[in-house]
Amino acid sequence: MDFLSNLALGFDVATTSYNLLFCFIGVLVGTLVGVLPGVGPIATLSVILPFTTLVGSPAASIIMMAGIFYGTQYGGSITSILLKVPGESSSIVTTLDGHALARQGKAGTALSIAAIGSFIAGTVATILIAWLGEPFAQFALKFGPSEYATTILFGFIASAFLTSTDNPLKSLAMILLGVLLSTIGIDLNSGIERFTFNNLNLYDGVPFAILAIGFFGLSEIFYDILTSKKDKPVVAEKVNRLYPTSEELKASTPAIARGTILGSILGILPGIGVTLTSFITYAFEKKLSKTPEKFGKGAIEGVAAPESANNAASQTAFIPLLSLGLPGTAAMALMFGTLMVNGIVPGPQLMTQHPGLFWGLVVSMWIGNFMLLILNLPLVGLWVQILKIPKNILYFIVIVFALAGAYFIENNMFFVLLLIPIVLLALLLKSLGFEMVLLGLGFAMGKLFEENIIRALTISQGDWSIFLNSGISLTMLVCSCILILINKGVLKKWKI
Amino acid sequence: MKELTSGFITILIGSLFLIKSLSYDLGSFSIPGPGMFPSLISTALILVGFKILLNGFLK
Repeated sequence: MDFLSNLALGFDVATTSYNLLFCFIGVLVGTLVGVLPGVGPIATLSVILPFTTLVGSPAASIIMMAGIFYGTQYGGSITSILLKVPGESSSIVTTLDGHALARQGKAGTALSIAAIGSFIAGTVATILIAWLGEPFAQFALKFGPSEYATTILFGFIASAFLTSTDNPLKSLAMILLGVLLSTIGIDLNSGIERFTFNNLNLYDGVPFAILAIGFFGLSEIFYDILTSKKDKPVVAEKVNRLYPTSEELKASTPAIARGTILGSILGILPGIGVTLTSFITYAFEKKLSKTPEKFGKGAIEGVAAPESANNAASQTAFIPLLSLGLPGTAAMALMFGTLMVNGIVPGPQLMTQHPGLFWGLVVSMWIGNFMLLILNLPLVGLWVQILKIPKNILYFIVIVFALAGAYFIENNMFFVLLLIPIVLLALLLKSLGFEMVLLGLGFAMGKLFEENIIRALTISQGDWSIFLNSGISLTMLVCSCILILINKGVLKKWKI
Repeated sequence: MKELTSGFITILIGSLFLIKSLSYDLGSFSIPGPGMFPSLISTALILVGFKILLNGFLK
């Protein structure tokens, strides 16, 4: 099948009324989550994950989950600009210039540029996924166990060193703990149960959804309840003129283009994530600008570039997941989990075994972006009103959903009770400054990591040099070493 | 203090996993047993914990 017939298939799948409905639900929930501070996309995705099996269609499930994820990037910009309250961490950087513009009476301009930039970036990213998905999948077919193991290792190291710049060791510890937790249950190679303490409920391991609900969903909420101060009253800047002038459009077009390109590239790389992407893009845009002094005081480029970049990155992050079966970030690990609970194994075979799902998802992203454009601009006032909902009510709803979801996974009370030690451990680790989201990445990739290391060692009869024999695995190991050295500042000392 | 506690907790978790992993058959590198992989990972976790602890002491 060629590119156009693939896209036609995608349109066929994405435009069924059922998939359109779930795409709409996804972007609506995503915008809501983006608007509300405290409940992030990771927490939301983890709470909703168990319910995706109720949807009855893997395509509709992943379309909805993807919609939530990229929808949060749109929603986050609204409160960042109007209230200086970033609903989502990737929108923190938008508050700098977005809110400054709003205070100058240009809230509408900032909002519309953010939405237009996000839409353009989303469209370009969708085309990139469609264009790069197949070559990536073809490339992935060259992967043997040693290549998979070293690529996963590179993903771990990149995530540990790029996600947390202040203490990558703690991030690495969380990834390792996630990998260890993934070994709970029956070992597929030997048939021997590990770390189950003879508890039958744990023979199949800890379900990913339980771990996600405990470590990302409930722990986030309880941590916020325990540490946050009283809510400040919501004071929104007024939105006078909604559409930008031709000068403003002219000024923001190159920034949108640069943000889209940079965001698309950074999104594919493992570990970077949307938050870091928006910060990198902002810094890059400021460096390129002829008037860097305007940044932070209401430069439209300071809104256009990061908002385009975070949306592009949130979509191109799907490329390694869908084509290689390797999630690069915690959010993608949750997408990985969604596909798994719906009986779909992400990887190079996804495109040939489930072409409808792959291309349907790609096209749905474009449709979802269009829905967001329509949803966001005219309904700005409504989204601001939603911020007035007391946090307590919101948290109560999320906790009820999380507990119901935990029970629903296996219809087993054991897993609901298992949430107690998980949440307590998560709260302890979180209070010590550990990065919870990386644990999910380690857990999602742990089994695959073990399987490929064991397989590679069995093939080579215990010779570890198998990891150095192929070009791909050697490159991955060299890249991992470079990342560690960069972090150590060694390259700086050598003046490289 | 926070770093010291973090390092200690990391070492503790790693040690608990390592002790249990060693109770399973390790096998050999050519035919790895069920205990091999968790032992390697928990050892790595303990080492990372020691480094966090060391950084905490040096601060």
